[in-house]
Amino acid sequence: MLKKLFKYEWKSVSTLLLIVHGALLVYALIGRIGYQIYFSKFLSDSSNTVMGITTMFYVVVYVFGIMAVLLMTMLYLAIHIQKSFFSDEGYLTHTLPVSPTQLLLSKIFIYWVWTILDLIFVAASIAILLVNKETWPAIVYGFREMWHTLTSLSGLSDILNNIVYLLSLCIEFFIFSTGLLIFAVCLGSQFKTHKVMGSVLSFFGIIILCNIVDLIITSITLPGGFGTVMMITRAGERVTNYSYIIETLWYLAAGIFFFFGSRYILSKRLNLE
Amino acid sequence: MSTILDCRGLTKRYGNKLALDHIDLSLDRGKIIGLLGPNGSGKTTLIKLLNGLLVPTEGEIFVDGKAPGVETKRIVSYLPERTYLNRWMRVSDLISYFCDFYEDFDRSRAYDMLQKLNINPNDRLSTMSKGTKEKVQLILVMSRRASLYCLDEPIAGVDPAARDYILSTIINNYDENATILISTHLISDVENILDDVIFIQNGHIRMQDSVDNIRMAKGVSVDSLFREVFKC
Repeated sequence: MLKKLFKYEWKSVSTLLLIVHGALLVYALIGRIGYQIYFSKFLSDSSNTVMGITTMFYVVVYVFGIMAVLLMTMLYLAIHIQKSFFSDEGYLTHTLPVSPTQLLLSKIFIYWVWTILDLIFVAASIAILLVNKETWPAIVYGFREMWHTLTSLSGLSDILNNIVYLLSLCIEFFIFSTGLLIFAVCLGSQFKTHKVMGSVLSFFGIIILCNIVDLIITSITLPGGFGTVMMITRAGERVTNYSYIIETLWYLAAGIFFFFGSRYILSKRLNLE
Repeated sequence: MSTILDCRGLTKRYGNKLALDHIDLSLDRGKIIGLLGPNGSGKTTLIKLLNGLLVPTEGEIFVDGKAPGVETKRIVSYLPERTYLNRWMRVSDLISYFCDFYEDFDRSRAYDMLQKLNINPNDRLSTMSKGTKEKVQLILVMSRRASLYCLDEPIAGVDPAARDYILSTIINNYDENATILISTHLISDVENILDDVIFIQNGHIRMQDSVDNIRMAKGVSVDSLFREVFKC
């Protein structure tokens, strides 16, 4: 049944999202064709003002385009979850012979798939626009630097710890964030009126609450408390920093709580008007 | 005769408003039952509770001996009073959808009914009129071989000619062990197909009797009795 739910979830959200993401790739392709034509014709004329303005305009639209696509995917999926659970469509969703757990998992999987596709599409569009023989070494160098910065922040440098750090990011991003979004939608349904507004308020309310907890955890677990944050960052590789492991456990626990909270609302507190 | 629906002290509150008040009710298999009452009497609330769309405030409800859940949803076919299907889907997609999720769905029966009502399976729901959408919903619901059909206002939005077809569809498409619970205001239209009626008012069951008993004992039609009982 889960497979079937996932199939229909995919069908219902993917047409629009594929069009939007496809448009991003087309825009990147236009940019690449544009600058290739430009460099082949005006290679020596680097002071072309019109081209400079056009390029700047193009890059601004491109950057905002990427942000809009990422934001739109999240909002679109959140609205889809809200509609299929708690609007008229909920009458069909909740009369299917499937359990609330299966319903939730189908939404979570589709959210994960589109989150990964988001990253792939954005990476592909950047590759279309920028990757060529001249830029490749700089791109590789940039990635190395980014990885180094990320791992230095954790205060750990060996491969195992880097994997653990990456895993913690995945837990925060996939389990905590997805769980939070769905839980906020479910919590919004418990409002008597303005359920969508209730979901938005729940979302930001939980985020604030989680940030407070996060801050408390950091202050307790960092060696020496808040004051050592900068020291650890600058000290770099050999300073052991367990705070992110504890934070990860907290994100995991919160993500699990969000899942079971959502399941509880769907099975014990469902009240479709 | 075994019971398909059993309510014990069933109560539902919306905030301070009492929608159902300690209802005790049993429905037998193999009957077409009219759930009749004025607006706000609790008909839709009762149907939603048995479909698991609402959670009771107090009391219990059992469908085929089980609390509403995955098992009961396999045997209950529900037609809500609103359009609940995905607008982007074609009728043929919806038939596949129902086929995928309900083991008791009869695809050929659905296509047969679509043909008789002149509905193109390739049409999208978003291009259809409200009445046609309601017909599609009814076709999907009645194409299942369910044990209990819950039809909430099944003929309210369709023209009189289609009503006759829908009512004959209801009669012809259920087997003798199945039960149909119809909630409607259009009593005169459905009266002839009903075996039993339940009158509900302000969250209380006012009366539960067979149509034959009402006609013989009281000498009036169900429609006349309804007007008398619920006179404003």
